[in-house]
Amino acid sequence: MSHTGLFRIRRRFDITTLLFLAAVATLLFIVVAPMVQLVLSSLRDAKTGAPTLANYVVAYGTPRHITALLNTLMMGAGVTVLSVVFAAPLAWACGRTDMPGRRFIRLAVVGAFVTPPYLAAIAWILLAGPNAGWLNKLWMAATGAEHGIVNVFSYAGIVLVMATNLFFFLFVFLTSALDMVSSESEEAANILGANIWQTTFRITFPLILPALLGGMVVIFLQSIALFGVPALLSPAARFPVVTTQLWQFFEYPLRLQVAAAYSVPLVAITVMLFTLQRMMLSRKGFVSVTGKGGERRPIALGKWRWPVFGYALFVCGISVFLPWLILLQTAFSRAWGAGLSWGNLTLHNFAVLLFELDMVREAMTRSLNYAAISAVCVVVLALCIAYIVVRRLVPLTSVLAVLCMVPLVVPGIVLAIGFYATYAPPPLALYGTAAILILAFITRFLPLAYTACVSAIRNIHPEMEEAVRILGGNRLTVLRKVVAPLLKRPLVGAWILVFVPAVQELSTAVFLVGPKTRVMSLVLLDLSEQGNLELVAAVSCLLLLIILVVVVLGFRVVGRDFMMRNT
Amino acid sequence: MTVSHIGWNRRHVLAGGVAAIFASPTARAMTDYEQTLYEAAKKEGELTWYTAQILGETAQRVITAFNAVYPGIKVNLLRASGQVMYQRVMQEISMNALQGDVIGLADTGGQQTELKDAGHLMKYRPHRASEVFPMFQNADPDDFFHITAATLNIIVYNTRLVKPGDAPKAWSDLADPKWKGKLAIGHPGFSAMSTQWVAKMNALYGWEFMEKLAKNDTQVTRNINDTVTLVTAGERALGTAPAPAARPGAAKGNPIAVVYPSDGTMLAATSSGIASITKHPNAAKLMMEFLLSPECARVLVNDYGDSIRPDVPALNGQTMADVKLIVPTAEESRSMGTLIEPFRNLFGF
Repeated sequence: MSHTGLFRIRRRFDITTLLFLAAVATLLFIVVAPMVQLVLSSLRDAKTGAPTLANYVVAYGTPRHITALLNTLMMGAGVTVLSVVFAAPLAWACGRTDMPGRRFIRLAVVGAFVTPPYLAAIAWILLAGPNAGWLNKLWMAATGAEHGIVNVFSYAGIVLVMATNLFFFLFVFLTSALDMVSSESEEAANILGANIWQTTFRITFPLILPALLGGMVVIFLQSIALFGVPALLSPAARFPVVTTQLWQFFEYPLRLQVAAAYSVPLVAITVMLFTLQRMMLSRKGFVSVTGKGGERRPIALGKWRWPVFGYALFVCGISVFLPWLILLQTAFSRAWGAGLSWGNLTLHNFAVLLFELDMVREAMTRSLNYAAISAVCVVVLALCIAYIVVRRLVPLTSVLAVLCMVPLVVPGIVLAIGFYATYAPPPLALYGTAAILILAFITRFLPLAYTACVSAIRNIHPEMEEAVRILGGNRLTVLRKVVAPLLKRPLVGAWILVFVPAVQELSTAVFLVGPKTRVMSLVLLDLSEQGNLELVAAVSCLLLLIILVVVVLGFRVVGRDFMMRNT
Repeated sequence: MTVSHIGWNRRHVLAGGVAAIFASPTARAMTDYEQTLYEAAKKEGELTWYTAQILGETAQRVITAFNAVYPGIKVNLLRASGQVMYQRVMQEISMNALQGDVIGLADTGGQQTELKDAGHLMKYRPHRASEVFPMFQNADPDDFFHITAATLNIIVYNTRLVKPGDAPKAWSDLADPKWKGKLAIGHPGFSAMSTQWVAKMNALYGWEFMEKLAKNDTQVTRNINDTVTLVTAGERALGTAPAPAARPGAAKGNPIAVVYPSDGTMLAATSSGIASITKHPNAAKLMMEFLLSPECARVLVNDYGDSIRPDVPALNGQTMADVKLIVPTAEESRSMGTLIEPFRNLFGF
């Protein structure tokens, strides 16, 4: 090789290329390898490793397994529809009208975000158990009826619990979209004689349709991937779903290959949905939503102000206030079946968990550590990749972008199976280590962090960076001295957006934890199995409190906006 | 004793508590063997204890008691439902990464025998092995595992919803149509105790018994302890439950009572063994000794359990010798695994 050739290679291998290669290697490691391994193991014989389709036959050869898949799709559809019913009116009322208490409702909705889904399920067992749930007891006392009216152990119950928890995402999507719609087109419609409802449905609605569809797909994907809610409600509801079935494949004798085979079609379905949504959106040009423009005047609701507020309060009530209230009440009870009385009031449960149960304290610290570390790693990784992609520093950036979004369509529990199949056995033998959990968390939340970083970087004008380059700084200097400081707030925002769900994460953790890496979600699920709901509630309250403190601190540091935009 | 409603009042609890204080474990001098084992264990510094035999809180208290006698040895605990624990152990073994040093399963022998036969257990005969009731001795003639806990499976009911006179007296009463929509049982796919129960009921009353329960809208819970939660809340009127989960509720003032069925209280005598690949053999041996000790037995009975030792009665004063017991036979134990899938199909989960 000649001198000039070497020189050229050296030049091409500048810091950007290195960064790019590092990013690609990381993505191969945490995204591509587990997914490829998932598909490969589904096609392999468990003992001999020979290629086979037998795993698919076992996975789909039992009617109950097919029922579980159909149930899951039905459940996903139900949750999606109900989430729209919850989120759309609230987002519209908060974003576009003069409903009273808009700030309060926005804050209350964040409450749904900080509540882990399995806690919502526990709270709803206490609220809507068919015979002993508080709501049913109230109903029976008020009407003299012999049976309650709501049953959490049912299809409807599972859908309700999930929707009260997941509608937050749709609310965020819709709120940000509504913020981008200018009032001008709405006013034009008004001038031409349209009333509020005509304007809303014929002007505003089509403009936010992309956000609505995007949000619906996310809700669907999230709901079919949940493990905690079905684990708590499905056995009694006799409503098996994919995640509980996957768990069964992990029972002894472990059928990893069958589990893989069972999940592949699920991933195919979610990929299809995602593509469908992309196709539907790409055919239309929504120029009006690309920037914040024009004057924005809230729609006067008139006599509807209070009824709309009432509905918003109802949604927040069933998704946040009631569950939190019941958990608090239970946490301070000697026996939650004994009802409200001074004699039943106790601090004992908190004393037990703070001073006696080492495992709870250890798990709490662990969860916080893992979540914090994963969030830092994922934000750094996402920032690097987002920077490369947005500034188009290398060819083929779109590949990076796609890889970053892949985990979005892979349910957490399936991701865990992929990780398990790839990194649990030798040579890496990461089973039972914190590393495998953290790596899985990073992968799981990469899309979230990546999206946040992309939109943040788009807001920075390249001119400033170019100035650094002209003055002789390299790309790394640019990242360190210009991009990072400017992005401090959005990055902290992204960190919190990852941290909160990572502290709660159950479905990815369920197959990956070892005895020394048990996280809070697993301990809570174990405790809930043991029937001591007073203690479970106390632990839940502590967990909620910690998450809330982080979110409130986040609000202080970066302002309240990060929850509502960027996502 | 046939049917009895044993009251677990505050006096019992108090008595147990006082007994525990007077029997402070640190007061005892160690035997020479114990001392040697302890010194060696201290050098190893820690052990990981897998248990599906007792509740998590109780296990935590066992560790506290262990450390009171043997300070300086950190015990990492993993507690899970029986089948879930077995699943984890097998999963770890398949990757040659079994992390537990002492493995306590909730199965009555089949699973431990499997581990033993595959060479995953270490042979050890605890010095205390002969201190327990004879029926709990020599579970494995080759000393690869030993019975370390015995749990009674009983009927629990809500006293507000079921009058004591109407309460079922035997397991066979549970299939009565009058309990439609009122009974809760554990899922044999999750809870090993429920697997044993299903196997025993199948042997006694045939599969029709399960079919009747399914038709009766019986609620199935993941863990058998969960039934107590449902009965306490009045969500279900009655359920099958392990005694240590059912008794404290009654003592705390919850509206529940227990029945020792006339066709026999189900006994789950469950065993522990030491992992053959353990890196902490001495600490593991020390834990095996401790699990058989009176100190450990006292922790268990103070948490409303029963003990395998004749000298440590339960809080209500009874020992294992006072209860009419039924246990799965060897053949029934073998049938257990094969019943889970039919159960799932029957109950739709």
